[in-house]
Amino acid sequence: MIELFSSLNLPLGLAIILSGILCGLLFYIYYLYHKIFYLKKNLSNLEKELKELDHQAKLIIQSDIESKLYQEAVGDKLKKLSFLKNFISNSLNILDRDELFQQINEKVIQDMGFEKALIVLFGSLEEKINIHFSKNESDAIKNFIERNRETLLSLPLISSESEIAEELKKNLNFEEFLLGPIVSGTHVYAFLSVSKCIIEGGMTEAEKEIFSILCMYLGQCLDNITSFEALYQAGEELESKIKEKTFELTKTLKEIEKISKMKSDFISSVSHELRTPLTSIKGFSSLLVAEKFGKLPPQAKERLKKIDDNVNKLVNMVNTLLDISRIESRKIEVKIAPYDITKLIKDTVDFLLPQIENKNINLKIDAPSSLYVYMDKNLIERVLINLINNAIKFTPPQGEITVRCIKSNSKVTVSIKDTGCGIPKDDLEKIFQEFYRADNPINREVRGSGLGLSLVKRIIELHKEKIWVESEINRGTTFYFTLTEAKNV
Amino acid sequence: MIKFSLALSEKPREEEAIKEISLKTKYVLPRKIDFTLIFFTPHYRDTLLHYIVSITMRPENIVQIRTPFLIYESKVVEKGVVSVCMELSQENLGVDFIKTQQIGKIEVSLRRLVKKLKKYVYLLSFLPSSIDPYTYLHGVKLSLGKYAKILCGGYSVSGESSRWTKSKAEDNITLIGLGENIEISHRKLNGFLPLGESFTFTKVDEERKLILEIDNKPAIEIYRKYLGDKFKILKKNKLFYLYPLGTKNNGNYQLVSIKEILGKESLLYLGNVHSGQKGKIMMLKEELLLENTKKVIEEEKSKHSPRLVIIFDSLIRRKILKSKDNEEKTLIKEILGKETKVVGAYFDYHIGSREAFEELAIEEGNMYLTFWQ
Repeated sequence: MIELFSSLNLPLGLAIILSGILCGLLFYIYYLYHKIFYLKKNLSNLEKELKELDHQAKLIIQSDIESKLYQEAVGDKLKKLSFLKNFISNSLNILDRDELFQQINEKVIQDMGFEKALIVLFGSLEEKINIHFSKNESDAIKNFIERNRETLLSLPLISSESEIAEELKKNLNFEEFLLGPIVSGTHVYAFLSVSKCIIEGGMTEAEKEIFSILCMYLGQCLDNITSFEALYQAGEELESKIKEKTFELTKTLKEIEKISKMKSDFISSVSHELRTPLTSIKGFSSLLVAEKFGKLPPQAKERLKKIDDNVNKLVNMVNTLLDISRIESRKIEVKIAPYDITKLIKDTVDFLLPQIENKNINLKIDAPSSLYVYMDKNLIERVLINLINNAIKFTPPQGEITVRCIKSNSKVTVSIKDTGCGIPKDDLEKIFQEFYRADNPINREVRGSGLGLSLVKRIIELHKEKIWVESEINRGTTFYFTLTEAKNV
Repeated sequence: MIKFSLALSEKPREEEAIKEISLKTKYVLPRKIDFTLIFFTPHYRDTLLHYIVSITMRPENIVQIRTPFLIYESKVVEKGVVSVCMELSQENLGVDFIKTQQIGKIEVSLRRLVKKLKKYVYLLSFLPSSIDPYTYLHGVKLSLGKYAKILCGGYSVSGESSRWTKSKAEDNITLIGLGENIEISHRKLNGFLPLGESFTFTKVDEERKLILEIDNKPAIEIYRKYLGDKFKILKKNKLFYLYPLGTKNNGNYQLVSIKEILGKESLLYLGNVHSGQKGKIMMLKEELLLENTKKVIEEEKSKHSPRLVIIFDSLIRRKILKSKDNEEKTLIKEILGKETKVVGAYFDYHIGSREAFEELAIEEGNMYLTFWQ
């Protein structure tokens, strides 16, 4: 470079200085070039970073709106579910179709996020509910249902976005609507349609879901109503059958009562009619046996004695029959008054003492020295005679009979226990029936009318008390009956 | 130091509600009530409410504001009446009402109000939906200056306010001027975060409140860019309130809310923006918001120990925050403690500044807290 300047005839010193300046300039230009290069590189990096930040911002905003929309949708769903819960709790017990549809009112529709609603029956296309739909609009929906009957059966939900609804969309003044079937059992019962007149973001997923749930719920309610109606009808039929049967039974019962009364009247009149000639026969037979009309040959006397015994039995039987029929026809006069049962037991035992001693039976009385009860003395005496007499009859010689009186609260239980052959279980329920006689060896030997226990039961029932029997085969039988204690006597 | 009483009633009937409030108030202020500020939800009839307040509490001045929600202590009340009653000398309080038709006289009215006070300290105002907030703001700037200490809550469509003077009801602008003996300050909170590259508002029609172009492209493109395929949902569901635009001002961002798309590409806005201003898209960050709220309240508490806090909250903000909004109110009360009473109402927009020496602006989506010492 110095040589270059020297060739220009410049002094050496100046050539050296100029060469130095030029070199410096060249270095500076080189330095500047590098600096610009680095700055450009930095700028490009910064731009890249900025772009990256901007990209990040886009991602942040997009994920933010996504999460906000999701939150909004969840909130919307929760709100609508809470509404549905209230709606269900208010309409759960409705058992009438019209009343059920009337639950779909303006407020319910607004709570669901809609403005109009229409319920049309699938068969007759009759409008059940119409909230704010104009006549033209409801007609358009009905025509749509009519024309697409077959197709609609296979679609769970039709919205304004459905292809099939294009035509309906054109005919209506709104753009957003839903149409769904209300299925009861296996049949489409009706169609529910809802719409929004003002387009505010279209139908949300929550609105579609709530609409489907509502259609399903209404269908289930209709099922419930159908089941209830069937049940109600069955109940009605059952009730009518019961009424019919009750009527028949009442009729039969009345007939039975009539027959029973006729039987009682017959027995009563027969007994009555029998008693007069029997009294006469008894009188004469007693006189004859007592040989009041002269001495009789021994054979004749023996026969007459038998006649007299049988007449006695017949009189006894007729009296018992008369008593039973009197009790049944409530003709008997009952005089209930406080009386000492212990004394009555003792008197009865004394009365029956010859038979007891005859069979050498050990009869024990286990009763307080004195115990007053409310009773008709004469009737209870007949009860005691019958029961003790029965016990004597069925107790073998050297056996034991216990007559016991136990007081418990205000009740007195009288029991007559024997050590006889006992009564079979199957006969226990029947022994109080008239003319029933249990099958046992004694009964086969000893004759009886089968009226004694029946009379006993009727007398106790006349006192509004209880009578029952316990028995064990070969160990004995115990008859119990209750009476009411008479206090402060 | 002002003497005040705060009371809430959630009773459904006007008579019962005011009776409850009156009993609570008379306990604290038995002699006289100079000023009663009532916030009530739309469940109550304003005329009846006013009548009962005037005959039971007999305040010198009544201002009733109907608001969709109330703030009382730590909770947000959806149905109720809340009252703030004060004992204030006439020289410290000036209440004036300007009819909607007389909006042109705003400047004169404000000057008269300030003159009446011994020394102007602060102006609280409420605007009904029939008032254009820009005209009001213009009047304020002309009379009190563009850095004036004011706070205004206004309604556009979502809420209505009713304002009352002694006996007559009128839907008008309410001005409450506060004087010398009152120490009051306010803080603005939003929680909106600027995101992405900054852009330039290249064409703004301030007259018609339209942003026509951003970075020399149709204004709507900014949302297309950031929302991608979600833009359609944003447009269909009108969710612009989720992402307002921010204009950079002295290092801080002021919110410019987008209300509607006009024509095909222009954005109708609410706020203050000029052509050539830089801006960014904004997004509410809940975590940031609670942190910021905590910081600001703690700062104010340590500086001034306020006795009363009146909150001017934003309906848009509540719409975005949902349950977090309630959490925020609980947090505020927790930090302020038992000694500080908290009351507030919700508005569509506010006119105020973030702090002193910042120009007044109309904004949507902020919460303002006024601290009364």
